[in-house]
Amino acid sequence: MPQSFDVVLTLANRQIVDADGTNHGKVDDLLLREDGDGLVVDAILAGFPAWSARLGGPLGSWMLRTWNLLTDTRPPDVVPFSEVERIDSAVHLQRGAKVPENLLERWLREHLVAKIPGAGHEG
Amino acid sequence: MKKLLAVALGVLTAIGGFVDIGDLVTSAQVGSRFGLSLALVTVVGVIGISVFSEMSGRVVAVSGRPAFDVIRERLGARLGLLNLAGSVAVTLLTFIAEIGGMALALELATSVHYLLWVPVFAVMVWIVLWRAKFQLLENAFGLLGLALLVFTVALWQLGPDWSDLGAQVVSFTVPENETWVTTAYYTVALFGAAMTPYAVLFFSSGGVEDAWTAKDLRTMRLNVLIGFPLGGVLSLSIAACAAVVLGPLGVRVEHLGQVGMPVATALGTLGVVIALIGFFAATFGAACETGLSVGYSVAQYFGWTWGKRPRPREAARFHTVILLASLLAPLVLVTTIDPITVTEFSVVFSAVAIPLTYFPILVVANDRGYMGEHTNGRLANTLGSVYLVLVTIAAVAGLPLLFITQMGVQ
Repeated sequence: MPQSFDVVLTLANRQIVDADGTNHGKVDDLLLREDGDGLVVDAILAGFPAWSARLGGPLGSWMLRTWNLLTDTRPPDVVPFSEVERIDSAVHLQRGAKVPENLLERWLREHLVAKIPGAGHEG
Repeated sequence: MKKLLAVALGVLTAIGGFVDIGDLVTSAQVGSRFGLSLALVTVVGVIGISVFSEMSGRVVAVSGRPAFDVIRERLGARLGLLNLAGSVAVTLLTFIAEIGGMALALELATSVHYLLWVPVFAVMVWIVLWRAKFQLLENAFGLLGLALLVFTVALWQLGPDWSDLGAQVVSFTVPENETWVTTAYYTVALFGAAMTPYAVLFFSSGGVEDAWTAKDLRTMRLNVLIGFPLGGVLSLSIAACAAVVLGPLGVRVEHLGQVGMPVATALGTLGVVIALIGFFAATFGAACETGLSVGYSVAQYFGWTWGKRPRPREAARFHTVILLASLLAPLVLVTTIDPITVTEFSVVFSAVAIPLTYFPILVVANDRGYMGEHTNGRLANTLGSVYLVLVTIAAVAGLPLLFITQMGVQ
């Protein structure tokens, strides 16, 4: 990993991809830690609550409130920066990196998409 | 045949940009009212959409990142969301219009009221987007859409005064009975339709569906160089047929039936049958292109799994978006709004979506971190910058012109 880099330009809003090439959302926010003179990236935050907080403004805070109400203040997905293998046009995770399954994806699969005939067919 | 199939993505993309239901009617309208005096606008549009599709296709082939991925990455969450709202609005309106347009066309053929056909087509399009492989989709509708070349044959058969048509192309004058404001409105409408943002979103996402890598840059360019000019030829053939047959009769083109009249005059029943196949394929193809593009842009903005390659259950959010779009279309059309009018409304949202789509693509195509040795050359940058200015002016001018001319009626 590069030791020192522009976090906003190289990391923010980038696609997160695991070792199998599956998408796991965007880098919606970052967890930074002060370390001597500089800041160290501790973790990547992804998912709806991180995104709406980042969005800010009346729309962002309204969406965040709604999310908190619906999910009992479920926190965003946290990916420790140590699980990042490399960053190019996307943020690539190491094999075996643990990414929590997305709530909305699972809910829609279980309640809607999997019930439609042909949901398991190769596209 | 294999060579032809290799460029099917470019052809299908161009069909959505140049001969979707709104374009079919607009081209014939423009032809009958303005002759070929606006033909150069289409040519300028073909070059513009080719420049940005090539750029975006190159970004996909080299970095694997499709257009809306890049848009979110460069514009950030907020401005990216604004573009997403604008793009999805344009794309959805077009999607709705295609379904309404197919229903109207079938009303002409069957005398069954079009509102009964609307849910039938909405379900048909959804089934295709749910089940069909991407390659089947691009091959079937890309190739069948070529039936519209019957307009080119018809034009030949009509034996027009070619030098007169040629003179119209370079006349640069406002025809009698038309005001300069109306001419400006149609200029902007034609240019805006050619440069529609979903064409680039679809083309670059199609590159991911077709698994392009840097080795496929030649194929990608071939798609651009054949697809978009072909779309332009189809659009101009329809306009020219209308100019030769409908213009002298003073026909005001308002629906698809009138668009096909010159073919009937020139080639009889067989010609009409081929034109109908072309209409159907182009409209259905454009419905697939826009329906998928809605899903592509939302999924790429949020970083979800998307596309026709994973099983639908593995891309549940992507397929839910497409399902919602397919449900929305009949709900909007049941208000009996005219589908052609629906496409004209999309001008409003293009004003936001067009600059915010092309600017980040131009920036990333210059980023060595993404592109390595394949960054933009001088030609791509010069054309890209010029078109970014042109398309932004057109996008902003579109709004007042729409209201002043009441969508070109006056």
